[in-house]
Amino acid sequence: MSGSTRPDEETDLVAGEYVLGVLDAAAAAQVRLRAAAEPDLARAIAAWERRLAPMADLVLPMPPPPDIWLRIDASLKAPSQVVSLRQGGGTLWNRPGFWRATTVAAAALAAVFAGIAFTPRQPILLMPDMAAALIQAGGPSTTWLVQAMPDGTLRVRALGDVAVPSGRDFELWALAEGASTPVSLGVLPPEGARIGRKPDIRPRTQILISLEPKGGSPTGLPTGPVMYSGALQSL
Amino acid sequence: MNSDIASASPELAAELLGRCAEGDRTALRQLYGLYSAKLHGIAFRVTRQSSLAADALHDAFVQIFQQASRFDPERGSAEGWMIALVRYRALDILRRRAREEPGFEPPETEDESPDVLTRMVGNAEARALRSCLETLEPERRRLVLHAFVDGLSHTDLATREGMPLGTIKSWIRRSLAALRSCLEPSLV
Repeated sequence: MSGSTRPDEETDLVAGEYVLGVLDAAAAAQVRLRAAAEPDLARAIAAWERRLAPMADLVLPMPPPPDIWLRIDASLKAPSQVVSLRQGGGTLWNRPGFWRATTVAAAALAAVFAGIAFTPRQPILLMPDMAAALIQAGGPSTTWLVQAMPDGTLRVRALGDVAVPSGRDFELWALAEGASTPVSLGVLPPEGARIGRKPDIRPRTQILISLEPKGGSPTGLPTGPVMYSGALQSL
Repeated sequence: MNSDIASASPELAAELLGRCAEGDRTALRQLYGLYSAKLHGIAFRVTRQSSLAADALHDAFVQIFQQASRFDPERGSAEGWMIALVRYRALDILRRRAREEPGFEPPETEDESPDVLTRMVGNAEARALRSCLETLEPERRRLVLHAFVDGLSHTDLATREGMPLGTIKSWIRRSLAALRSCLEPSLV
């Protein structure tokens, strides 16, 4: 595939279906995942977004209730200091996508509040004392929210649908500040997880999600690409 | 705060996104003033519930701020990018809700008559898309409009139209290809 020409027909039509919104949740999530790794697909999606956007003129504008801006503003006022990056050793840590994702992750922390909206039937009894938003490098993206609760658990869930390629699993990792190797927090199902607190879960710990063989990394260290990453911040 | 959508030039929207990418929350506030009614209308049309529309709008503006650095003015328009973000959030929220609550049925959508296209008068791109939509057979045009405007999936469209899923999928693909070649004849 050439980077400068049109994508092949199949890729372009899948992008069109995705932007039009006709794909079911699983297929849409698959497109998002692919777009992060396939620049042609990401470009095709952007082109369809531009082509189809005028259809939104058919919808009558509707002023939102006044409290929504307050919610957005509160979400953005969450701590957003710049994550300090450390040079890591090993091939995984030299992947440009990983570091690109990490530099923008700090701003994404604001999304921790957004997560609350998705558990309306579950009263929030405890507020997290630390949180991270894990985002993907390039392409349309899903954000993962990680919340460290005062009861010692770590809640991880996706803001949006995610797809795991067949025969593979996501695995969750914690990389403590100053540490050179991450510690596995276990295989992460696409619907999220609630796990017991591990010793490395501290402010500024990097939380990573890598793509691994089914059942998780056989080596105890990430073997596949880091799909999402972000740093925990105190709230 | 200015809420006149017509006054939001593409250049202004792109510039405000650029300031968001640098962490300027006042730029996001301006974008909110310019686009929140439009984006909220879109979210409400897809989710058909005010609480879900509010969630989609909230999430979309948080993402607009977080991901502003990913917007590439070479590839698309700022408004198109924001519209896409709110639609993806609204569709995710709607489909997740439908999955979690098997009995969940969003209210019926209103039927659109073809002359609704007269609302697409915003700019040259809107007029071009409108005239290309008008070249599609009416039945196929209706599918495309329902998909984009009402957030109907292949399966929703098949159920609603009483047509085989395969037919719906192939009509949508042919319509997309036709729209693309109508809009960008040089690419064919």
